[in-house]
Amino acid sequence: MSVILHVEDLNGVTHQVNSPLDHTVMEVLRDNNLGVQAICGGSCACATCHVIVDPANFHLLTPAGDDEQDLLSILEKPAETSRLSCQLKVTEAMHNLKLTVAPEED
Amino acid sequence: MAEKLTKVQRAAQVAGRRMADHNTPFIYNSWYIAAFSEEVNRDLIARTILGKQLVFYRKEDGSPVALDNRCGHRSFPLSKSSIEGDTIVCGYHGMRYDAEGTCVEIPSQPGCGCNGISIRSFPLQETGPVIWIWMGDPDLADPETIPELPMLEDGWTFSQGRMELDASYVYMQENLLDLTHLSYLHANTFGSPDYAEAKFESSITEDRMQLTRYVTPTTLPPIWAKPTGLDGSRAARITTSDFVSPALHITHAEFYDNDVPVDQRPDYRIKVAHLITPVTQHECLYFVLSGRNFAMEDREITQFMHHQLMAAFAEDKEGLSAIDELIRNHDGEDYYEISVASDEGAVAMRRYLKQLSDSEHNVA
Repeated sequence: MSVILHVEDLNGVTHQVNSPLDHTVMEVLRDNNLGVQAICGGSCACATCHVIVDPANFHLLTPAGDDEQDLLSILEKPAETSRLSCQLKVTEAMHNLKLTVAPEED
Repeated sequence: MAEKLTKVQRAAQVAGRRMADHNTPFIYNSWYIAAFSEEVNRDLIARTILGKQLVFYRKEDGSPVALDNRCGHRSFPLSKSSIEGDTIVCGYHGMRYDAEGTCVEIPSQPGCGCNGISIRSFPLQETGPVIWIWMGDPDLADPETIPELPMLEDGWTFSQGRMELDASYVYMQENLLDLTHLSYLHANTFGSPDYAEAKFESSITEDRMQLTRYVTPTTLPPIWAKPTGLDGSRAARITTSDFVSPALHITHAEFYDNDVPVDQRPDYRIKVAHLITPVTQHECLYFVLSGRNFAMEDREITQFMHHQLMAAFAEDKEGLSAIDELIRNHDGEDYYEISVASDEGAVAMRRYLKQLSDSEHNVA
């Protein structure tokens, strides 16, 4: 089972990405070379898989846990709908979700 | 002037605050290994466990005893006192304690009721070659929660060894969950260059972290090649690192020749229990039970494997001690450690230890 995510990459190009349900969004972005570094491999320890979710879809996601909130707090340019994609398990409810890969901060 | 941190460094800094380290208060409500059975006899021995100074001995019926090492009267070490029957008589003024720590005699005051100066005794459970101790809330000491040691079961044979490490138990537990260090720290013993790059899978739940690493095809190091006869370059080395409890990590490994059909492969497996007992923030006891399910009767192989294994673990001891020395001498500036993908199990484990410690010490 998989759903489609609409991912805007760092160049502003939108990709329709097939996303298996047992994956995290970070794994989908990484496996499709869409510009997430994911240095920590998904442990919620590096903040290099930052995405900005379309506000219209944001309510579809489970809220960020304590570890993720800690990391979101150190971003220099967080958006209202910033999330770490390693903490987002792909669900059926996410079908057609739109998100943008956030530019890397220094 | 403080350097400007990158995002990854800032992330590492905040993520680190939710991970146990050497400053994290000990987790008392868990079973730890106090000693190998053979270490405790009719002599009094002193040993510090989770920061508490204890004295150990055996009663006349053979059952082991652990008491506070400090005489309740004037703090004389009971380990420097004497055993009479099942009691200890303090070497300073002769206060006598029974095996439950109850003071039963004050020589200078015959007939004095002396329960009030009783010392604490600690629950012990002896299982085969090891003695487990419960340092926490006595009401929570449930022997049913003692982890199993599969290398003590039928069909397995084992050897045992012990080391003292000048390092926090947290970093020893972490060492065992990230075996990519085998290619570097253990390059001269049981590591191989392909270990760090090998594929791995993880299974992580709230309280158990398991990583399985598939090093294949590979050349086995002598420690495994010699006893199995798998001395070619087409061997497989499949290792699962298994965090069981704050006190126990088990390494499971199997070895086979890729060129032998699956149904014809001999069953060569090892299970090594790494039993780690905190002593102080910067010291721990490291007990090893190394089990195998082949060449059961061959004592030469036991000796060979044990010698090789302890030589490798001596490299961990040296490496972790060097890290600890660096940490102790650090300039005091807040620092951070970057975690990479192979740290997945270790990060989850250190978060779990921090949560256990916080809940035990009522940290919000």
